[in-house]
Amino acid sequence: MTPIDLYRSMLRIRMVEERIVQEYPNQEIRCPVHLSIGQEAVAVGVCAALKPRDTIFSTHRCHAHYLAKGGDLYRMFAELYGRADGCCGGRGGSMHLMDPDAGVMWSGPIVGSAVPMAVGQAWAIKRSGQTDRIVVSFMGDGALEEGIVWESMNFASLHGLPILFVLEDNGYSVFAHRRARQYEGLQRAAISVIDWPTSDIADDGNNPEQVRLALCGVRSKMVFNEYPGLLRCLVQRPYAHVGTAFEGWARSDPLDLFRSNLPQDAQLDAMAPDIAREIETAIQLARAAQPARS
Amino acid sequence: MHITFAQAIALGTCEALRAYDRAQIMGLGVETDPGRIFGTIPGLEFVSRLVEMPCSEAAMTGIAVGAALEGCHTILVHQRVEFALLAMEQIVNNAAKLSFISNGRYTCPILMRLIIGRGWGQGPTHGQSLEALWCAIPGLRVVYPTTPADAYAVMAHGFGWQTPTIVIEHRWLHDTVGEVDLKKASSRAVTGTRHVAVGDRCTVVTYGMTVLEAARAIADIPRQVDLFDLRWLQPLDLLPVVQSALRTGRVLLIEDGDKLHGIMAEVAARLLIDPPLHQPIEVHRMGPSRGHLWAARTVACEQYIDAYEIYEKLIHLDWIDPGAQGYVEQLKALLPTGDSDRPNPDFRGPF
Repeated sequence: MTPIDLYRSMLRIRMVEERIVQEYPNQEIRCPVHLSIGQEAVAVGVCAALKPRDTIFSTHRCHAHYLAKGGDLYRMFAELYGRADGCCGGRGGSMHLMDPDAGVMWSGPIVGSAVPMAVGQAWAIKRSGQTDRIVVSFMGDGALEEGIVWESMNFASLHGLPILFVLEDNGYSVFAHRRARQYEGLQRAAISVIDWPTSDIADDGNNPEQVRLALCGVRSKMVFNEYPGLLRCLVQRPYAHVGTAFEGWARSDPLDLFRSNLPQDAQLDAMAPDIAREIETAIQLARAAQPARS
Repeated sequence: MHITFAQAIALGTCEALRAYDRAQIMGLGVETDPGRIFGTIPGLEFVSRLVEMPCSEAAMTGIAVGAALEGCHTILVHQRVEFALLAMEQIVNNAAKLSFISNGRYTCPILMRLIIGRGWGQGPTHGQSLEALWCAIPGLRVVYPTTPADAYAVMAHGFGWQTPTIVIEHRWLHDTVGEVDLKKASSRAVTGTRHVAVGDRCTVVTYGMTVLEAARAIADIPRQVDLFDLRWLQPLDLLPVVQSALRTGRVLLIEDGDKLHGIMAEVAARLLIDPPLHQPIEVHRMGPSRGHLWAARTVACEQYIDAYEIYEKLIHLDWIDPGAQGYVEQLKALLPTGDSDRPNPDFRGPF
């Protein structure tokens, strides 16, 4: 993917979520939404470095991961609106987005809960002798406070599984800052559980090109060495943990930053109207679709 | 073929591993326990399918769920029921909901063997069965086999249900012996309630270890008690029980685990309330009200329902005619005494 493609993918995610913010007060999307705004670069950078047969597992904050990996936009909105055509048939809502055809295997809101599932898929892949296929487990900084994540990392390292843990550190678990929750060496400890040569710290999780490059390096080392990997990215979350309340940027908006470094041409200006049309079509179709029935 | 319950589990497991070439067995000790987990783990032929696990019950369960996404079938072994509690979140949120949330796209063929300890000081955290707890979780099946034939069939066919299934396994059943026709059993999945004995004066419904106690209680009074072994606790199959109840008009429900919030409360509700039978039936319930289990044998021996108690209850209700002279003495001889905290007199511990 070129930087222009990366930017377009980030912009598309941003516009989808801003449209959700706009639509939410109409009380038609009736499920908790956890916006990925501010964290698009990690999803886009990671998924840009993956091969089509690589798979991902996500969290409650799954919109960006789902879209970046190629999850179907119409079926996402249909899920948010509680329609039968939703990616879970209306059973899961915003926190359970999945599209196995695109490699989005599972999302779940219980912190750390999807991590062993991702390890399990990696285990099955390795046991069946497949190579050059990896599994990505996205998690937030809070996940490192869950025992099951350490159990999963231990098993992955013990057996050298093709799994990459992507730690998106936005600094907050709901309202609580990391400093109030974590001993300062906790993340270093996680990195040492996962073998060193395959860990990397893309401290700037705001730049999709840097994330993509870091991941490309980690991915090839993982496949070559048969080790799991861990990538930590610092990001920011300008919206509330759940819902559509804007709390403000701590630093600059990563979209603006990335755009300012791209060659300014007409291609960039033409993107937004194109994406807006795609989103409106998806929303219209989703709203007109059959409601979910048991 | 005359084999023990433990051998039946091992043989049934072999058949499942043969049928599904990516199937695996995971658990603490499955590869390293010299006793092969009470002799229930298949031998050399399948050594590559045994996956020794770290002390990580929660991750182990999630790993089995994730492996299912790649078409792997898994048997998880918990040497005591209570270890599975560490995996509760994965069982409830992922295993049980995999098919539902994915709108049927995924299936979750996982058998979870939960072994109940009893006696020899198993105590409060090694002796529980907690069957009502598992039954309350939508998306799980719960089976509690009591004969070698059923144990064989559950293991051999369990993957076929494509549903996470809790297999409750009583430690004291491992040494019991029974006839297993491998050819016949291979072609037969365990479905529904088992009719253990035929009688026309009253209906007795129970499950698990207590089936053996009830069968012993009525051994000398043939054709009086219609005895049923539920086998499946979730989903329940109450049709044969209802038909029997309509015939006898009297039903005794005996809980194997704790009576409070037990399986039999649900059975009673279905018999009496929804939908009510158009004919009066008398329903009684018995079972241990034990609270926490004790390690000390002097107390632990009182915390289980035995054959004598069942017999006395039926006599007291005037639902049966007494057995031949000396029968009560025989049953009393089996009563818990200071030394009755082990499955058979040859047993020397530990567990």
